[in-house]
Amino acid sequence: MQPKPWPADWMRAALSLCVLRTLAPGPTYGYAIATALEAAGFGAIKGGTLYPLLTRFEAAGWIAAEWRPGAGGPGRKYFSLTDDGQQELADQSAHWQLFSTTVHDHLQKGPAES
Amino acid sequence: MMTSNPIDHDSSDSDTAGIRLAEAARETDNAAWLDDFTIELRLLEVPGAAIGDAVASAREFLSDSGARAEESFGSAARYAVELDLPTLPEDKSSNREVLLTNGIGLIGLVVLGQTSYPLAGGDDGLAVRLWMVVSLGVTLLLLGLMPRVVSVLVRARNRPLTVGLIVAGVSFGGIGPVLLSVWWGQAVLLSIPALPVAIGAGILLLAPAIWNQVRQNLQKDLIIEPGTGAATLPSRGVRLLAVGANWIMVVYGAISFVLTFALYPSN
Repeated sequence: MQPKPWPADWMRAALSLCVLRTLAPGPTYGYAIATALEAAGFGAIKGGTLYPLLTRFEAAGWIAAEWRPGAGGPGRKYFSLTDDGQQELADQSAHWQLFSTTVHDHLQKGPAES
Repeated sequence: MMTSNPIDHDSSDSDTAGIRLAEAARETDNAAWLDDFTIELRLLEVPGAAIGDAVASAREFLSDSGARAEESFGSAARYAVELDLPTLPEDKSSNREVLLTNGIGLIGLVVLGQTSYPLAGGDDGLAVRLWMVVSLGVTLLLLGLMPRVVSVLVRARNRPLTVGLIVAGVSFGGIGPVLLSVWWGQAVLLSIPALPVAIGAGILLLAPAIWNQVRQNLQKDLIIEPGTGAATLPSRGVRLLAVGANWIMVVYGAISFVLTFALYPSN
């Protein structure tokens, strides 16, 4: 259980990559992405945080969007990773691993002695 | 009295009614928020298809999450900016047309205001005084601000104090020259018949509003419902706001004209 919300700065830094990762298994829609992220321990993700990211990804060509019909209206907007998006996810994930390791090592060992 | 007894129908009925009321209030608030969001995207010059997509996405999320729009998305104005959607290319000829039509309407409004006082007093002649020419010149200089004033008014529609201050400012600007005519600038430059000038001014005031209304109806950038491709009309409130913004000068001119007659001191 998450004891308290993650600092906003950390969320800002990590959320883009984690949203891309949430889309990796296949097409999904806004609330399902938010729910998946909450279940993963990121806390409640608001629509006002999620959709600007998705819009930005769509503009960058990392994701594609498609409306699937619902019972009485336009239904749901499904987002899926494009080839560029999959490449971006792979690149950013590798880079993040490096960053995470750097932070972790620094926290463990402290500053290198000169 | 509230009890924990499961067969206490009074309690469960009131709980159910309370939930329904809360749900109805949420839906009403969310519908109003979606209207505001639509207006904000329009003000940002986002194309109709993109507005339809963004509004439907927000509606879908709110429906799925059961959240209040204000809590989930924040203020409609801020969220519209944060989405950073592509906007329509700036149409300079359209901007010029807006300035021209507003300018013609404004000249009609000012001149009509200037004819109302002599007409209300039963005077057929309009003495063109120095202050009238000056006020007309100042009005034309302020014309460049008109599109901005309209968008500021639309943005401030939920803040009565701000709207009141803007309307008071516009009213003062409109009524001020009439009041000044009593105390200042009495030098008569020439005299012309008041009634034909008033009719001409009325036409100048009406024509741009009619022109803009027809243009709006003919060249609507319709909001497209995603998935279905169907064009959706904005809510009645949004449509009324658009019509009101177009006709505001005509309404203001008509009210001022009637008030001048009604309040003119009888001899």
